[in-house]
Amino acid sequence: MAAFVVRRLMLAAAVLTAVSFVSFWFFAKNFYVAGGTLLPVSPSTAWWRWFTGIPSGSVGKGTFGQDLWVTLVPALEHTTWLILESLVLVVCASLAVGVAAALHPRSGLDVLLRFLAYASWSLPAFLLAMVMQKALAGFHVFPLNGYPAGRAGARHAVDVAWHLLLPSIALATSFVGLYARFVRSSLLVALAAPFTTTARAKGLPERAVVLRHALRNSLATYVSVLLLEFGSVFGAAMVVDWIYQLNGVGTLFIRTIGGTSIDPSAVQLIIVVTAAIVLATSLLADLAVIWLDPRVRPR
Amino acid sequence: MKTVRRFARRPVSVAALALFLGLVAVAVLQQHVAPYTWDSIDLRDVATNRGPTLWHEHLFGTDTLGRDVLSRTLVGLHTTIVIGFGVAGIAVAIGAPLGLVSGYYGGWLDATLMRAADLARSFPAIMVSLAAIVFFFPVWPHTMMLVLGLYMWTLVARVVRGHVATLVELEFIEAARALGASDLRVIRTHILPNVAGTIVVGATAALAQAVLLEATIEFFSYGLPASRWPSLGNLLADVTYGGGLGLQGYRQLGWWTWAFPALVLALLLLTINFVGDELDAALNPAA
Repeated sequence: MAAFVVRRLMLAAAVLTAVSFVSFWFFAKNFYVAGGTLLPVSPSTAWWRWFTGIPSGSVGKGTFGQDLWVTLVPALEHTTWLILESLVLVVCASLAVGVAAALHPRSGLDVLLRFLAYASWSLPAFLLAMVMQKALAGFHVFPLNGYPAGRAGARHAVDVAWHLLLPSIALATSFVGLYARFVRSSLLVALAAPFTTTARAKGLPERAVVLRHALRNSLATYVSVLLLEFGSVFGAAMVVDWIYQLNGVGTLFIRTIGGTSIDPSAVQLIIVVTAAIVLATSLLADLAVIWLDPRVRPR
Repeated sequence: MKTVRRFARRPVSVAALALFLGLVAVAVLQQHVAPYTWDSIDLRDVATNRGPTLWHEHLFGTDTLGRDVLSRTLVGLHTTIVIGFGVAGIAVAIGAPLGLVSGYYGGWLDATLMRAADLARSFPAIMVSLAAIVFFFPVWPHTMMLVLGLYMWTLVARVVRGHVATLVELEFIEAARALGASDLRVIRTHILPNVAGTIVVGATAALAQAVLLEATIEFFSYGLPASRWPSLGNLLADVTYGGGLGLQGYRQLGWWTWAFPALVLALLLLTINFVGDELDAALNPAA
């Protein structure tokens, strides 16, 4: 178990090093004259200096000495809340829809939910975000853009949740369909399994059979798929955050690569931090599956 | 043949396929179908920023400059579909052989390729493609195809590899090998016909992803210049930012300027996803 985690962490470190070198080299090579005033040494040397300087805190220092964390940390915070709020919506909606469809397979309800699932799956997050923003512009009910400022506290939290409502609905909708279909198919398999028959034969109420026995068993794969798709969720969150001007990672990334002279270390930091988050969630997915389903535990 | 019959038995999938082929046909024939050219301006006062009407000359209405929204949407659809098919073609050309080889031989090659594919897949696609596209200014359709195609092959390689790996275990492959067939012959005459359907399913997945990614990049205003190559994505971006990013711009714009390109894009993605999924179901009736 510990060996498995250590191996995965070592692989992650290797990948992050490679990603940081490639992105740094790519941007430095294309936007700077090596040996010029802006980048006095060659791209590889500059990267090596950065890499060997990690213990003394070179991470978060831009090529020109500016502090990169000042902009990145709030951006990460905004994106985190956006993703968490959509995650809550996705999990609630996909479980409800998936269970409802699986309990009445091939009924009119199932067909309707199937169509809605396809529609939601096919709608790009950016399209829905844009259409909602435009369509609701005349009503002055929902906040249409911006991330609220203010001191941390209950009031601020409510304010943030309210401002993130439309963006997270847009983000959640494009993933609910996929996951609802997944819940439906895996729950159908579980409902036909012998252990469900056993639970029914014991005389358990149908509610307990479905929720505690069948659904519990299909959760392991659900959680792993949910976390494995995190890369595309993060990508969609970048777009949504740009449309609603939430000053998250998406907006920061676009601003960073948008200029005429792009600081390679700034781009590199955003890419490496994103890669670290994605790798961490994929490790988390494996650990969650191991925890939920003892059969796949590595020896 | 059995697969085709199973697919054709469901009216919904046939309807989706017909709709998809209809969109492709309209896109291919856009020069003959579109009532106007995409950049021609109708300067008469009655023709600028008009809503869609059935009895008027502009079916989908006109934008603030008096350009016909229907013609612009059709040209945008054409660009989007050309890029989508180009990307799917590159993805199949790279992904299918790699998936075949990787699934057939296994071993370190398989492990390395699939690990790389996993990594490429887990990373947010939009970040990678934006970072890559920054270097190509101005962007041409073929650069777009190349960047997205070089990213999308993993999608095809994965599904093909998975199918080949299950086939290799079966008796008929063993029988072919026992008769002295070379690896190349086994792959060509026994494995390839069996995974042809899977390759098509992988290609539809790549097509859907390509259309989505292309539209998203365009929407960030990083792709093809809208003044040269209108696509569904940059038509939407044009309408959204219409003179600077902000909420002021679009209040004067009619809903028809963005609703029709958005609707066509959603319809295109819906039909591609649906056809791909139904095809997958027809190929694996047991699942």
